[in-house]
Amino acid sequence: MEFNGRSYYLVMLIYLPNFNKQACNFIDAAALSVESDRIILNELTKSLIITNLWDLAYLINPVIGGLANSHKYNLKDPRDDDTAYRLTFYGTINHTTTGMAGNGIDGYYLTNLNEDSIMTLNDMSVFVYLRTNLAMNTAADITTAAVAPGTTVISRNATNNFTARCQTSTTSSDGVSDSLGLFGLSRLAAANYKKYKNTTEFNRVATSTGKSNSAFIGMRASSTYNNREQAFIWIGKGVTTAQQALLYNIVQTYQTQLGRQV
Amino acid sequence: MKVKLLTPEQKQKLVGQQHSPNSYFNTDLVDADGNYIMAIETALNCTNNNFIWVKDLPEIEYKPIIISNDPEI
Repeated sequence: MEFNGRSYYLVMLIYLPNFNKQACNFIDAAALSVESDRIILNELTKSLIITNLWDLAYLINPVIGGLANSHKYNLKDPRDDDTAYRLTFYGTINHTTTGMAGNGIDGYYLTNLNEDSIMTLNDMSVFVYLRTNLAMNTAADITTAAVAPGTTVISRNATNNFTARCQTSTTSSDGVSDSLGLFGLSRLAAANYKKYKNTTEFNRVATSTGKSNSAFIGMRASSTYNNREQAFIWIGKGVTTAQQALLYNIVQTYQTQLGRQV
Repeated sequence: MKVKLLTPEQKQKLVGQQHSPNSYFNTDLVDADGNYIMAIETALNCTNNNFIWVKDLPEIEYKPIIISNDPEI
């Protein structure tokens, strides 16, 4: 994206020294045209770096800009390349300034990140910020694949359970009243992993048995396609409870600044 | 709800193809009867001139595969 013949990256480095270099790279790639979006994205980036969460992430998708072309980029590596874990969209994903949502029929995305080759056993985390309160079976918000063992997050199934598994074949279920906010999980030990809905923690004893080796992580479906709106995605190394709380606060602040918090 | 119906040959032509910038056809989608299908909005929003013909595909009633419990996703 250009501004008076120069890329935003250069303009910001020259005129706006408070802009973070990584944020500038993303703004340039995603062609963010709204000034407030650029400032908020910069604040998000700085918060993640200051708290050292940045170093734990493989993929941080801020889902900002309202277009497929802006929603596909990984903040950590905003190259327009699959090896940078940019998103690939299939079917119909509806992109708006509040996030992105599948159409419930044929829409989904893949991150181009393979759990088996990139992530470490007993050291992983996945989070997604959801803006739609909807119960539905079989539609994963984010998952590795249909082949266990692997990693899956279903925020709210038809029986109002937050179901998930993490590097295991055993699925856990915990009651929830809605599918709003930051859902995810983290594993830092072979014996157990932790699920999170915002700052509510569910400790689940389930020995890790392996990683999924079949496909990229993404919003996938076995038969039902997800149409809960997503507004932030994180895939990284394992995080502690304290780090998850930091991440939640940063993400919630980010969503609030964008006026799309739930 | 209606969806577009594809023949196996038509489905094969769409594998790995974009229907609009940054968005690919989902060519894995089948209904409860084993038909290859596509969402109507995906077809109608297709901007790839090589595949504009998807707009003219016949429509059938959407019969999704129903799984009563969460599978091992």
